[in-house]
Amino acid sequence: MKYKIKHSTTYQYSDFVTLCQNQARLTPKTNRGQICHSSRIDIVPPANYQQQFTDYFNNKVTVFEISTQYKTLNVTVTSEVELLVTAKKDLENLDMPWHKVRDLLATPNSKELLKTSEFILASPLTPIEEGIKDYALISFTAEEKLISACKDLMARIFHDFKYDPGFSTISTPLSVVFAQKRGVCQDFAHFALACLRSIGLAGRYVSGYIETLPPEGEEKLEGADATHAWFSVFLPSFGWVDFDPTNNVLPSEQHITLAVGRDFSDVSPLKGVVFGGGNSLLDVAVDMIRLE
Amino acid sequence: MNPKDQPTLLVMSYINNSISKPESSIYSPWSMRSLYHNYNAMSELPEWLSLYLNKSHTHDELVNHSGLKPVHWDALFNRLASLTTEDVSSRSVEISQLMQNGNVKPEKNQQCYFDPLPFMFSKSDWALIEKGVIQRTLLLNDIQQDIYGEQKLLIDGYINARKLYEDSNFLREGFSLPSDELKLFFTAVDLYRTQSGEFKVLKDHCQCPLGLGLLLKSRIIARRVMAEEFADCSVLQIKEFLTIFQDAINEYSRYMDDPRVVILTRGIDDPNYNEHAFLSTYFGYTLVQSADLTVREGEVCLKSLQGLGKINVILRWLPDRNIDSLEQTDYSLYGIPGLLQAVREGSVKVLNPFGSGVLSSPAIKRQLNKLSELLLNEPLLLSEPNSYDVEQASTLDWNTIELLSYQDPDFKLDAATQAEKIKNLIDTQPDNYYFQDKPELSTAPFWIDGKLVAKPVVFRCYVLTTEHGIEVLPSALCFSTKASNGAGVPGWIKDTWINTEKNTDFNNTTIPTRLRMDVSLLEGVISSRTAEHLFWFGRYLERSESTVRILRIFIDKYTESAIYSDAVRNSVVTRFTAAIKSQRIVYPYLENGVILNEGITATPKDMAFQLLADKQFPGSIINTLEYLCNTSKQIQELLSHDSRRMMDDINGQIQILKNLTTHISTRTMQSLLDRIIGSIMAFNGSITDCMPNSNGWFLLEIGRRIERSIQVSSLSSTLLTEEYEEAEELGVLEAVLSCQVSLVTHKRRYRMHQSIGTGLELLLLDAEYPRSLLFQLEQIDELCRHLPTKRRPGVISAHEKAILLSKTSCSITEKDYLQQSVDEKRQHLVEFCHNIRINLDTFCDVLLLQYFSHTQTAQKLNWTNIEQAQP
Repeated sequence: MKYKIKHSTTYQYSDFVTLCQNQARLTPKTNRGQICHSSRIDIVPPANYQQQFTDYFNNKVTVFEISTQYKTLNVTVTSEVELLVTAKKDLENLDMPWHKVRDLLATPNSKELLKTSEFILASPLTPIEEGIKDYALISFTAEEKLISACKDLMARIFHDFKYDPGFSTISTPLSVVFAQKRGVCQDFAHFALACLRSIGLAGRYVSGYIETLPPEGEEKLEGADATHAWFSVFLPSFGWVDFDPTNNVLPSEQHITLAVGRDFSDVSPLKGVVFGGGNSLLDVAVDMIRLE
Repeated sequence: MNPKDQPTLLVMSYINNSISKPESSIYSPWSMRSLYHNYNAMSELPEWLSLYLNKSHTHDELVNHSGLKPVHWDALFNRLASLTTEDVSSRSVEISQLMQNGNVKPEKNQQCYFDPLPFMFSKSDWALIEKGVIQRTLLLNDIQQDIYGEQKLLIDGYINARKLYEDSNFLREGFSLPSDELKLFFTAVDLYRTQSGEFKVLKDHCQCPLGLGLLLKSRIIARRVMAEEFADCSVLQIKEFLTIFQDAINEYSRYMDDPRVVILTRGIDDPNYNEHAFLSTYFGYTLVQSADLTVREGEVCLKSLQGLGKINVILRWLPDRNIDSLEQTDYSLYGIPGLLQAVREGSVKVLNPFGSGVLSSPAIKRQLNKLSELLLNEPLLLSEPNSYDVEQASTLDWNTIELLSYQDPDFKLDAATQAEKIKNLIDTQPDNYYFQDKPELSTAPFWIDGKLVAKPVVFRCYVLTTEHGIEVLPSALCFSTKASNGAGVPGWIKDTWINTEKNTDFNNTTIPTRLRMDVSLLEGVISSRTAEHLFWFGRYLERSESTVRILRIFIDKYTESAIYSDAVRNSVVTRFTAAIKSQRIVYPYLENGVILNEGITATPKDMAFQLLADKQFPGSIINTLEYLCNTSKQIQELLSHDSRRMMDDINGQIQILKNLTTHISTRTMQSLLDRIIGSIMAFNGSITDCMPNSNGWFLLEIGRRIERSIQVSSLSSTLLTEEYEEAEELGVLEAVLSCQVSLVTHKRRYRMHQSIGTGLELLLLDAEYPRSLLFQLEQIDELCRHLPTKRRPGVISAHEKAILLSKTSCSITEKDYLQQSVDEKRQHLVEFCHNIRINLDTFCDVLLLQYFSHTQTAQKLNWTNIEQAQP
């Protein structure tokens, strides 16, 4: 499956911005599950400085600066990504008891395990609050295998938590999300990560896109697709396995990965510092078009 | 004779006096006690020293650790033997005065005492330390390279990955930086001596090693107070190290035509700001705060008066966790957005490198013995106290250990006294803690309240890693803290002397001045912020001077009228009282006066007190002096030593003013005012010589002239506009002229006839009279030429227009025109002064906008929330 993705972010300011400096993590990754064939970033007004580097988590980061005065900033990224079919069978064959995975990660003795062991620690946005471990252990019973336990955890989050876009913001702490059992995909991903990490498993946060299909008979609206977030768990000798607790599915044909990190703060698609500007309005539109 | 032998001979005879067979005794740290005791028996040691030696000590540097032949201490005491207790005390007092003056003056809670006795290291002890410190620095450099690179040490399990990842000083951003940006530069290590005589490590300082300023300062003072001892003791010089320090920095910028090096400080609210300012003066590097810097297109720039200037090297005295508010997760006010990108591009060098704070992590330092064997193939020379995992708790002697935390470097519990608490902690969170042997610091004598007192000491050694190797500063900050065992801020410090056992070449001694003068240093860019502070400093200086003068004249007048009460005198007092009360002739120089506390009739004396010491009265002298002192802190790195001493005096006077009550006598007020104006004049004198225009000092002069212009025009428009009987008019004029120090000139110049008109001519219109308004305007015009032009050629800029307008109006106005009155009011004078005032205000606004407007602060962009487009 091949997609063309257009991701457009627009800021409107009440006052002139005299200078802004930004970092964008908007270039899709190339990994085992997908190939990013091309990606282009268009900035209006044009940036007078633009560079790219690879961060600690292997994400491509575009750094740009605009020093012309403006009231409207638009950043549009156009990418072509091919999703690869992963062998689901392997996954079942390689699944292993979760406590064995935990023990392996406790004493990392290879470069891969070492890099992975980073993800068993609580991160700024996924503090391991009281009660989280108990919640996790319901799925992760003594001899349970990792992947099937994760599927169970994902399903429980899907059923226990109510999807409520008005409920949370970036700064809503995880404890509130847990107590109220409400939130959005980002909260569910963070919560799942806290569960995994509370029992010594490695989980990472994935930011990306999801394709939405219009109700039958209706035409797809422009900009209706969305940025999305889910979590990924590490299975030794296989690698990272994605889970989408918002939709209770294992991402395969409709999820495109942008960046990975310990939590949202590592992968924020666009962040920056502005001088001036006053109040601002933000608008984001994503289109995913199937190419073949 | 070999010159080397001379001092040795001297010392030998001194020792031979004291003991019979020095060579035969076997070395033991305790042998020195008897040595000094024997000597004491000969009663040649001064009492203050023998009293100390006779006391019982746990393990003292002088009594127990000075070695078999303490030539290093002997050299010192040879000199000091002739001093009485009073002599030492008077030195101690002299030092504390010098310390204050130098402005390496910590806040009250961090009061730091500098001891009149230096600490002496023997040549052999120092050789051990030097070797150990070099080895340790090499090792730390290797580790830094590995953990921000290959991470072999983590994979192979030498360093616990989890503990390292959990350490908040492990900065993941470090991985995207070029590897040569990771090399340490200037670090420090705190050492102590154990009872058995070996040196151990208390703490590494790999981020921002503090205390170098203190050390330099103490050396400068020691050289002054103990010049002779210094020469006698053949002390190793620190000058070379400082030269290497600057050379190493220059090396980072050797390919640049005009390299710019800055010292980055958090600002005056940083407890170590004084030290940063001291180092800035000492090395001649511009002192900047985060807001002075901006990143443009991958380069770090200083917002200076001349516009944006590229910075090549940043010596950061700011922790690296919040240094880039764009890239790092924690948004910090002190961050410079984009700094890391500039480092990544290689356009700026940040020293110390990013991420080095993690080297003090227990996850690393507990493994250093092993790592030394692994990486350097040799045993670690300077190790930490032994440490133990909490699992070993039951096998340890709890009287000799303490509990430390992996996460919190300040956490410490003494196992002997806090056993219950510790048991609880290690039961619930065993992974967070470890035990360590309690360091038993050696003591050294400190002069406290007229006698020597033994205090535990720590030696902070400073190290420089350069391309050519590792250099150790041949001295140390020997200090004792108020906390019991070595952690925290120095409370008492000693200069540390390393005995070379050879004659010191006197020409080679440290001279406390800037070590290098190259073009860029002389030109010294200053930030817009500093420029603005200079401008305000000039205004406050002039404002305090003028207010003091007004108050003096006012007091004169009302005391005089109390004795010789007549209509003229009373009228002068009334008018002055009203003018002060309505704040028209003092700050804020209101054109249509506003009276504070209306309805309360204040006597002239009450008014005088308010103007002197009432903090509620905006233009009071105490307020103005406080503004002055606060501003002086912001520019202290530009002030000379003497100027700073004058500011200290002024600070002292503020303290006196704070404690005044309304019962103060007029006489006391007058003598206080005399002292204040004395300090201000002395300060003015101290800065006239050191005002190179390139450093922006002309802004101080502009500020001063602006303030003076405002004063003279508001005095004229307030007190000289109403027309009344001639005798009364002349009485008021006389007072106004006195306030402007122009009475005598006026009398001389207008011998035949004096009137308001002549007074106005002198004060406002005379282009050649140095106190006249027109003269100030001409000067401002002249000084503005130093401002970088920001206009098209052929066009006059807005601030120049404002001054030109005022100048012209002064030049074309006649005194008779100003003197004319309608209905007993000199309307022309009022309008004239009003227009001048408008132009001066415009001038200041333009200056602010064009040259000082740097204060715009960054705000966080609304980070795109992943959910914002979620259906």
